[in-house]
Amino acid sequence: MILPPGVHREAFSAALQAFANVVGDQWVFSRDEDIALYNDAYTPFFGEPDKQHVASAAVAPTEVEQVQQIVRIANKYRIPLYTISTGRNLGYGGSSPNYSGSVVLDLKRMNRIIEVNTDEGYMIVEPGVSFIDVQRYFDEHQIDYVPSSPQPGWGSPIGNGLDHGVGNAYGDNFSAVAGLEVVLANGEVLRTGRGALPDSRLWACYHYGFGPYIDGMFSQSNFGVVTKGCFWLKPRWEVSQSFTISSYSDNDMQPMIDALKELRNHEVINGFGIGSPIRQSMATNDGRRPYGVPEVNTLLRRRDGGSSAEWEALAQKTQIPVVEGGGGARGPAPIVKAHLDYAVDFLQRRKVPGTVVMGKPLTTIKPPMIDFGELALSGTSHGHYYFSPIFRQTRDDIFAINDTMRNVMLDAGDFEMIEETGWWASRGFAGGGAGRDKHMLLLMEFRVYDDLDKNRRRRQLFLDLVKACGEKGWGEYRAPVAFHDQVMDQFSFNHHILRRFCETIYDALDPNGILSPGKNGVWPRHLRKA
Amino acid sequence: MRIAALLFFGTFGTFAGANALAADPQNGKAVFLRWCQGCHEALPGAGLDPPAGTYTLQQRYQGRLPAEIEKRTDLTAAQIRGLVRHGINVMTGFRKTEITDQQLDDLIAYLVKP
Repeated sequence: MILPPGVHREAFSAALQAFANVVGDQWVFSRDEDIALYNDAYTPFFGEPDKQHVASAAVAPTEVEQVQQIVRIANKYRIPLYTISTGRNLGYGGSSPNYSGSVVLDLKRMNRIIEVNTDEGYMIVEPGVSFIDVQRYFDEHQIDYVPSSPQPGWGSPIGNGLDHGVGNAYGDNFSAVAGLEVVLANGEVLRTGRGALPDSRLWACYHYGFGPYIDGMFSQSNFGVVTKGCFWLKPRWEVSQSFTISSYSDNDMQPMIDALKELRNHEVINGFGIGSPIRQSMATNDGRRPYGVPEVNTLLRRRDGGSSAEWEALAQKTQIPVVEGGGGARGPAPIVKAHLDYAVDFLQRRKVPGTVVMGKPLTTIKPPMIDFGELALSGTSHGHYYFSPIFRQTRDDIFAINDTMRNVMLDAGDFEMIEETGWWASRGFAGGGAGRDKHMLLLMEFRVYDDLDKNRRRRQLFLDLVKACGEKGWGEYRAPVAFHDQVMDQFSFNHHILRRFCETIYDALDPNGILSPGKNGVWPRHLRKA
Repeated sequence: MRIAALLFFGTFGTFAGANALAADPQNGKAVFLRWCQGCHEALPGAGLDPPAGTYTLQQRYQGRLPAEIEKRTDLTAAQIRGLVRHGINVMTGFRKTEITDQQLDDLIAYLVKP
């Protein structure tokens, strides 16, 4: 067992005993074998235990009042806590803390679905409720709404939403939040939005309270412990259907994007994607099988990434399009048909070059998990983490970020990563897209291997990508715990005022720095680097 | 319709230790359905995506062993205990706030065939 830095063994033992008095002995974990269960299963530091982010203990309450008591005890003994909901933020740190030696505040046992309101279409849940729990509850009660689940569903609406995660129904899951309950560092309970009124029956019906809107301050944040969340729900759709439009000319990408964006902005389609199938045809980083076109890797290994003429020739030779866009709709079958008929007609009227192919109508909603199976078979033994910057939905930005990333990989001499990653725009349309309006999100996978030297090189590559992209305005939407500081460093406008503002609030709310120190690069005063 | 749920998940089962109960395969089945089935259920019909765990094992075993965990007859208690607590490949381990020691004993009783 390690101790929280700066905390004496006697004080730590007293704190653990005080935690046990609150939750019961069996829900304070301090034996090495139990603490090890809180290690990041997908740690980028596999095989390097001295570098891993590890807990000193864990405590698992079931009630808000217990969380209040735990926070007060942590203040008394200066124990850093690290809050998790279900602890399944895999690829982004899992259940492991930013600050080694923290006690994990494990909210998995706070697993009540407080209310599902089918008239208004919202739910109020605790942090330990998983997407799978919600889906089963909806199935059991024949509720025609869907949880907005990412794969594979063992994460939670609260944990995923707070980390700006993405789900199949809502897209940006935090955008579905309409009120939170938060235990502050001093032990007080705050309810945001309408929840601040004496009778909070409108808590989930309106986003705002009175005065500043503060829900966002508790996302990707260490300003409090979220113990309840109100979420608006999307209806279960009868059918989803997508289409693709493909072409063998690079010049067709921008008109394709323009037309698809207009359809999205006018809510004819509920999301769109764009890509370059020939450039992406050899990528394997989500477990996909390569198409077997070796010239692809030859071109991608070049500094210029290959000319349009070369790609177009290769596309013709292989009959794999050089540009492909797509969109989709979902809802009642007649409405989906009407939307897609309109979209196809619109593309023709606009004379958007390319061939339109309509996909099959799908009635299944469960997110596919085949990628996880493919990943398991793809040669990694220890999981993965993601480099995931946000970029613009324009041809210029798509090519610019790909050129930047490829050159960082070339500088590192990491040809294998170029081949795994290929070339990015968006990957698919998920039966109609999942939001992500106005921007594109790239999920570049870093697998963790038995080869520790390779893992070290990959971590450095990750940091090089963060810096090179950050300098050009492409910051991560979310990041593994191990790299929070470096990602926050990129948000440097006006001498890092974003971080300084967060630090000011953190200091005011949590003067002892007990809540998730270091989360998203925000540290308490005594742990800040000069 | 307002459905006031106040539903606790996972309150079945007790804790291992001095007062441990005998392992109950029926409770173990409930644990399987809640925690394992999502990835390890039976393969669906043609055209549908298979669950990740069953698909992986199907590809790995190529018919030498059943891909569906519930159809396996060769699993031992030690294997299941190790896999549930420590995971394998992209499957992670499960904490005791997710699957308690007693629930793990129940799961073993369900999956290990006499």
